[in-house]
Amino acid sequence: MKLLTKTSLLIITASIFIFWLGNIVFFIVTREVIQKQINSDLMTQMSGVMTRINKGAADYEVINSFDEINITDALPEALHRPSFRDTVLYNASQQRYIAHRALNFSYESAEGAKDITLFKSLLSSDKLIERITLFSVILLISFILVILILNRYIFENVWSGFSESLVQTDTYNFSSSEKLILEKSEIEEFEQLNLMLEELTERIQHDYRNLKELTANTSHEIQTPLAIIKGKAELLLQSTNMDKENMEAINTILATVNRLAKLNQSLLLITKIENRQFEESSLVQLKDVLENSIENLEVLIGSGKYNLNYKLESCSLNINKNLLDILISNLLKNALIHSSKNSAVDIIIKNNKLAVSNPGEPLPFHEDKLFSRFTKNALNTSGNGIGLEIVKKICEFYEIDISYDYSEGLHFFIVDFSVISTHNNIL
Amino acid sequence: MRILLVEDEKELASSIASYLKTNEKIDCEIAATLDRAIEQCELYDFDCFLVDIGLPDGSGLDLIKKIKEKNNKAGIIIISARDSLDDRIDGLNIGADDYLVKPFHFSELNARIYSLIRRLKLDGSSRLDINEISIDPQSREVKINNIVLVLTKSEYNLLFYLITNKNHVLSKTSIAEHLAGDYVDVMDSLDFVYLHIKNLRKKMIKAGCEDYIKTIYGVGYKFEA
Repeated sequence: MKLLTKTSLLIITASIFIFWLGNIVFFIVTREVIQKQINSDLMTQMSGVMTRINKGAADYEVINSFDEINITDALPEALHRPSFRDTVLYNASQQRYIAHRALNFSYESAEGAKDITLFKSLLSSDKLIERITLFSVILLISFILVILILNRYIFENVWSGFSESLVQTDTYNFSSSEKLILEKSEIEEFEQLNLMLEELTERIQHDYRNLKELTANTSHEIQTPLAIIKGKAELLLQSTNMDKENMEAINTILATVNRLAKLNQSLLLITKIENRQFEESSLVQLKDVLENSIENLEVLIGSGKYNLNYKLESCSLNINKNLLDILISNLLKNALIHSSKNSAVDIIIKNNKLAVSNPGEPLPFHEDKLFSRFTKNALNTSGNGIGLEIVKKICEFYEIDISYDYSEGLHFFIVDFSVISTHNNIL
Repeated sequence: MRILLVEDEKELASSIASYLKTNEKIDCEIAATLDRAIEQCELYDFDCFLVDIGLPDGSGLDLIKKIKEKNNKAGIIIISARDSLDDRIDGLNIGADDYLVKPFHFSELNARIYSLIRRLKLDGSSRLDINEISIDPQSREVKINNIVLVLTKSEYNLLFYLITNKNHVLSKTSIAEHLAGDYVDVMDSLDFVYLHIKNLRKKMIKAGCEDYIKTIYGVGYKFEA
């Protein structure tokens, strides 16, 4: 949710709530005030009525013919204090019941005790309250509108620096040698944030550079001793006075050093991918890369153990060629290593998707662990358990979707290259 | 043929030198530092340079620049532990001919030097002759007793690798890596090397060639001539 949307929603919710609450209070207060006013009117009327009764000028017949006053005789012992109540009276002219406020009191006059009730119509006050409510609703709506427009205006003014910083930081590339320099903001908090961002990116960049150097150095430090071991072993192989057993031992040393070197290189490769050290990308034909890989595999296929079927549509990608090579070779290697003997590996490119499938037993471990480091099938000793992790890392780097499926004895790997396909962009 | 090996790791340098020296035609000098290498460069002419990039007193890339300024005929092979794409591109851009990542097989280095020297000195056009075998590296044509022998791509690669490392024991791993490159670890056994050797040997003997390929049991093969 955008900041502007969020604040607008909050403002609307808050104003509706406050207005609703305010209206209730306002309504109660208004009604109270009006009631008090009516009560005091009735009291004034009461004293008027009493004066007239005292004067003896009252003609009860006439008085009673009005709606608003009702006088009856009462027993002297029924004398009571004046009391108010709400009631409805039928109004003949309007032909409906109308809310009234009634004042009931008794009076001991010369003619005896009287029970008197005075009525006052609430019709006009109800109308008043109705008007007030309507008005406040209109007020609420226009208030919200004004606030929203104002909010938008303020937002665009105040937050513009923030949005710019956001875009700049978002597009910033840590692997570049340039520093992140954000535009100055006149708002203190944003300026503080910008400074912090600049400082933070500088530190990250520094760490990134250190890590990159460390990777290169570690590689150097480990590869060189390995090279020495390998070299010495190879020299020993050339000596003529070596017996069979020693030769075999040296051969084992060679093979092991080889494995170690490969492992080291694979781990370094993963670090490099994670460090985003493969920035340059170019237009690459997926088909060409695959055909090249298949050609390289021919030497193995010739030995009769493997069988490759392929059906390749053309598909051009915007990708680093080396990474694509590594991705493809690791996928194919995985398929070949884990397929049953004399079975066929199928490779298909269709609609920007690459599918590699090979027959084989179901996975001996959970599918989730398939792409993690050193997950290996105990029955199959070849492969170093990093290949698929490399595949996953490359896919993550380009946000390519890769999925695995097992059905009818076939392992399927499907890589969806649509995100980096140029064909897709044209459409 | 004079080769200057610029490598600061003493043990590795002496191993490479003694491997290369088994070929009596090669004379290998060692320089352990950038200064020493530049000095050697000024004193003598070399046919080929093997240059490590990470040297204690500077970058091997600087040396390559200097070599190129002075004599751009010599072949240059970078041997580096840094398998970074930038280094590779930088190295090849300033004039190196090849790039080998440590740890490499000496036989692979030998084969690369061999191809490079042939390419530079002889323009790669002249044939390579060993007794009754004659190879044209340019067209990848093999003749035995002047009759063309048809080989598959990998059989040719295998033969060329064996010949450029003749009289050296080649381990199966090194042959496998040379043939299958990246895909070498697909095979849990290296049977395919055996298969290729078997096919090659059969074809060559059938064409009337002597059997030069010796099996070193448990280790690998050797081309003896």
